[in-house]
Amino acid sequence: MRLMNVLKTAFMALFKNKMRSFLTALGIIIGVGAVISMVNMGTGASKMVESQISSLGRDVIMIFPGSSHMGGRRGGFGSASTLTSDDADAIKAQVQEVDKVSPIVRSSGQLVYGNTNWSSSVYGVYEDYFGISNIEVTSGRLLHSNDIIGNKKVCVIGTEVAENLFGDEDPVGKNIRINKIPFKIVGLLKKKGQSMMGQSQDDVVYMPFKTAQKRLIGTTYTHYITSSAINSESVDAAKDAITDLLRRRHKITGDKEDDFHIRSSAEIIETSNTIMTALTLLLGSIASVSLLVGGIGIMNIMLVSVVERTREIGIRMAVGARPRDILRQFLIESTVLSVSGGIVGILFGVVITFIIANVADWEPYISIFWTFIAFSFSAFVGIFFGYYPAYKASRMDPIEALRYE
Amino acid sequence: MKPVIDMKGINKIYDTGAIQLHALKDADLIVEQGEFLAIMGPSGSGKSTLMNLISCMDRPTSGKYLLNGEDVSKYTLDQLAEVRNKRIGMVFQSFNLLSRTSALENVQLPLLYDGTSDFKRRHDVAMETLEEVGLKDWWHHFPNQLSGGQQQRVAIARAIVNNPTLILADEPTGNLDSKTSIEIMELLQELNGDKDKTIIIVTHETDIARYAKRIINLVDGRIIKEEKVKNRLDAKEELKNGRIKKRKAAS
Ligand SMILES: Nc1ncnc2c1ncn2[C@@H]1O[C@H](COP(=O)(O)OP(=O)(O)OP(=O)(O)O)[C@@H](O)[C@H]1O
Ligand SMILES: [Mg+2]
Repeated sequence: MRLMNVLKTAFMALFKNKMRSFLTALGIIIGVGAVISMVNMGTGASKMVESQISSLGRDVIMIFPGSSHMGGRRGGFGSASTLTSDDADAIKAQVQEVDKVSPIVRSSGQLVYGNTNWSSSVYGVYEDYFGISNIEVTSGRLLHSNDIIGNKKVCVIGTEVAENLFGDEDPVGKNIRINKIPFKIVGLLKKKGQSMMGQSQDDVVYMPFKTAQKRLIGTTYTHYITSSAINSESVDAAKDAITDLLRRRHKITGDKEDDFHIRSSAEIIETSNTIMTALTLLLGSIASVSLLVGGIGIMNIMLVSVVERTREIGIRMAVGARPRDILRQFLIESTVLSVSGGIVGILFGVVITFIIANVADWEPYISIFWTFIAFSFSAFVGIFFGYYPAYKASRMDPIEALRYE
Repeated sequence: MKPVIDMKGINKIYDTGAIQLHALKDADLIVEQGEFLAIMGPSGSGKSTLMNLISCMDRPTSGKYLLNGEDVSKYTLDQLAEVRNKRIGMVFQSFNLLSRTSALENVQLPLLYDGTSDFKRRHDVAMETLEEVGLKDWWHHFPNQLSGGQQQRVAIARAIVNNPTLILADEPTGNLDSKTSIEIMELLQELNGDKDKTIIIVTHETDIARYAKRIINLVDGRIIKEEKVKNRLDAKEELKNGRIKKRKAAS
């Protein structure tokens, strides 16, 4: 029996039981759809994280207080107080491989304009910070070194702050109070969207470092220091030089542990890639289970179908179908079922991917590789789970089969 | 010329665990080309068992079976399938058509397994065969839209579509009324006469057996009696007479 005939026979058999075929294929549709949307979701998320981290640039070096061996207690800024702005100044002055440096303190601030209130994250930074983090203004200006040196009470604000405090008004030149201290707004930042942690990067206020440190927070330390190497090749050399310098400044000798730790953006990108890949694989393998369940559904239905069509099998054998013709017929039927389920599942998965991307506000990403894998797997499922029922059919005794009621 | 069927010392024993059932005992049977044989006998005497062996649906427990001079008793399943496909056409009491499948497609079925024919040839050959059994205009009908007689005609068309020399019919008229039965016998007689097909039928009815040329009787798994049919009936004549009789009755 030629392939075209077998295919036609298979389609007709499936068509005669439309509802059942659809429900059986639904198992595969959901399975393939789940694998594709999960994997695409994982990949989409990691792409987004990657693009956000790399928007930092690959040459960014961050210095955090506290040892890197302090276990899980790394998260909170200022969980250890070992870094000062003098450290930042020293790095800028003495490490040749470093281009820009800024210490950073962070606090939450209560902003008041007229009788409008808004609370937001307030950062104290050097003017270098904007260059390192690619922050620009749409109107007004960024903070100058004069503002920093003079501890001026000026600030630049993100678009979200501007919208909430000023509505449509131009905030530049306006005076606001931050934690009751009057500030003058000198610039409005360009919109940046969400950060990789899902926080808005537009709900921020930047002010001169010392102003924030002394007036708002009242500390002598800095929460962390960010810097950029002169180019991405010098990152490792810069890290070593910074480590040497800080150990000297902090009087750490011999094999005593550092009281700070350094991360480069490249490392962060790599770590997050590893995490995201693991996450993607995890999601994918969870989804594969549903594909497996779909396969078992196919096997179940094919077994039922073989029994129901015993007489048909007998008739076909009586007119000259060989066991392998019967085997092939049922195998193709289950494969057609799973492959068409696979195709619809791909469409389904793509739609889900777009919906998720839309909701999560990232670029929809379709992995060709995983689409192909999920599709091949669905074909494999059809053959694998269809084989046993098909084999049973092909082994039937034609006389018994013809006598079956 | 070699006989179409040459069976010698055929035994069939069904092994159903506890009991062994000796369904055929030392059966010898020779059927020549162009014969029209009727197998008769009481229920359970082994008629269907014998038919299943002749049709290569089953293999004998012992004995020798030459089909057109070839020993098929040792054939593999695939070889037996090919024999059923090319050399034997089977007709059943319960028609055994594929449901929800058109008459034409039912007739095409054997052509799907003969490996050679393309779509157009399959269609044309099946259509011609349907025409031979007088159902050309019914090709698109499903079995449940056809009368019993028409269904049996479709089944006969399916049996002859691959042009086999041997046609086997196990109680082909068992589910039909007497007039339709004669019509089916007319068709079989035509195939036997005009097309020189060898035909073997199983029947309970002496009336039906009289359309054959020779009758064998089976009792308890043995062939006990063999006779030539005297005063053989001609189905065409019978139908004509039947019609005349009916007209007379009406007037
Ligand atoms: N597959 C089988 N397994 C066991 N016993 C069987 C099998 N097929 C037939 N038999 C037995 O073999 C004997 C002959 O059966 P067979 O069907 O040949 O009879 P038959 O002459 O065709 O009867 P009928 O006129 O009722 O169709 C019966 O006793 C039957 O029960
Ligand atoms: Mg019988």
